[in-house]
Amino acid sequence: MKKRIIGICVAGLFCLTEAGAQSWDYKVNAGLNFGGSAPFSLPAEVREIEQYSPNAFAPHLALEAIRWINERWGVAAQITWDHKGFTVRDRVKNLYTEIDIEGNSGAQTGNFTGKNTTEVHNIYFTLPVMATYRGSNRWASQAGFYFAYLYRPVFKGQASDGYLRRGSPIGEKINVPNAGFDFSKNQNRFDYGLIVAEECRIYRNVALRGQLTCAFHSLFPDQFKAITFAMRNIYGTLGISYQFSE
Amino acid sequence: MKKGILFIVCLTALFASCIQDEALNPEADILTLSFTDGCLRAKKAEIGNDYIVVYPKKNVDLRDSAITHIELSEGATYQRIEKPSQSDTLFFIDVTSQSQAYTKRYSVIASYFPAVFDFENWVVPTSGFLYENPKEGSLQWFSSNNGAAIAWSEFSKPKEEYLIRETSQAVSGKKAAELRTMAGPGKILELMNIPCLSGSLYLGGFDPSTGLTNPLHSTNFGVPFNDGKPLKLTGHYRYKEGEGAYINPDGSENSTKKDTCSIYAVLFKTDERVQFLYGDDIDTSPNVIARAALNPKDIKRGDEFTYFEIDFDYDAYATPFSWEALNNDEYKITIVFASSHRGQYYEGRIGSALTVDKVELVYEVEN
Repeated sequence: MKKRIIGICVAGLFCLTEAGAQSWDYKVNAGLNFGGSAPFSLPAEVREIEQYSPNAFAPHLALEAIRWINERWGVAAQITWDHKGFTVRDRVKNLYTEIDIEGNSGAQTGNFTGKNTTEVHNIYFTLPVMATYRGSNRWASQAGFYFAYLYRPVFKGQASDGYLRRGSPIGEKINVPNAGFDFSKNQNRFDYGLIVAEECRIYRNVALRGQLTCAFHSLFPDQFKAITFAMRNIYGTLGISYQFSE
Repeated sequence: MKKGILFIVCLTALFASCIQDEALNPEADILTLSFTDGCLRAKKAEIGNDYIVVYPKKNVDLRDSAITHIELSEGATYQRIEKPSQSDTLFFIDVTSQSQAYTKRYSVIASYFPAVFDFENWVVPTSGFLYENPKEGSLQWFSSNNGAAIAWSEFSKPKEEYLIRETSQAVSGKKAAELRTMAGPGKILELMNIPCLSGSLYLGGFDPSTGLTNPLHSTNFGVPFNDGKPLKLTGHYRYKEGEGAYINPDGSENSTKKDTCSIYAVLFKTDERVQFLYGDDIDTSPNVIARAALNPKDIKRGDEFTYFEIDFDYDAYATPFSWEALNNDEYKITIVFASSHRGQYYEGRIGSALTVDKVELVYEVEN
């Protein structure tokens, strides 16, 4: 899969070259990702976010090619290796969930009240395609779309200090002092969304780069019932960009 | 880095500002319930998820008694619904949640100790599941079906596939109770490992809340008993050791270990601290007054029913029997059957089966 995506990307760049290149820029970007996966508005069942922390080290590495159409405008494409992750600890009340039991056709479904800790450490290969505007010699802005393949999925955590009401909020009450869950494999393998970026040249070929990505759809497919609200990837990246001299 | 910190602060603020107003409470539980003083033999009503078992004193009709105190889920309201026809269920209590989205009907059941246990009448104790437990007159048996239902969590599992089921091979009447040891569901929610489930049938109650965390505390042994001083437990049993592997609690197999069944009854004294005995203290509690247990050495194996008659041993226990305590409703009794004698620790031989019928508690009445 990885190879296929790189192949498509290289082919794409080749096509642009064939179209009659006049001016090309090549860059390598490195930075750190900060962000999380969240619904646009939290459901009422989430009562408190006790702690949120982005992964201390969530690297972002990109190879970028820009084909300038004229003095100001160009088209950029990247191949990106993105680590997107965070840890969140929250308190929920009557949150509907469905938990599969290993080796069993049944599942514990019901409404959970208690604490939840979720850890996400996903690694994506991302292909952004962006319109690029060079405002000055110093500033450049980009906006476009990205497509990503989830190469290493990790989405797991614990439900604790609470209880599950089986089936519905009036079902039998079962104490849950600490139960693990692992939804890594349940995540969507593909992600896509919007990307915007801003660069400021600070020294010769080196620029500071900030970018923001926001996914169009949830981490989980609609038929996944353990998490009933959409969790979209919303991440920012801060880093530097180095432009290779021609 | 400053930008990064700022970004995180902004994001956290975004999350925090998104916390919505708390929804109205959808739960509809009865937490505590009291009737007019002196109506009940056990001080507290036993409250299940949709039933309440009460043990009324002699000559008390609870339908005439007022509810003096009731505690509900936050914001919930209740309505007492009288029942026109007479049965074990005296009346209903409908509880409507604060959110108005849910109404739960509790049956208030009056329970009395029967003369003989014949296992002719079987009922579905938990709505949503298909398994059945026997009911003798107004007294409900509890069983490991209650816990297995949580572990298996298969609503459509037919009643014949549970650990305890009715069988037509009976000593008297048309039905007897069959208890079986079966393979368990294995690992559940990283909470516990259940390699083996044994059939157990007992008098008392079941608390599902600890079903996945401390299952030995889910089995609440004991129902109020003041009919007399228990002398003997009699009945008929048939026991066949399983032909499957003997499963240890860790899931490993032991081909040589022998399995056996358990048949016993325990009379114990309740106090402020002890209202029930549990899986982990039924053998050791200082509250035990007397015990009648079938000696494992005497257990016959085969296809035929065997009559048993076991005496209550009062001498082995420090606390003496007192008629005053009995009349004061301080005593409870439980009768326990298990298809594997160490079944509560999730061990036993797959396929072990115990059938019981026509069980009787013989007691002496005060002169």
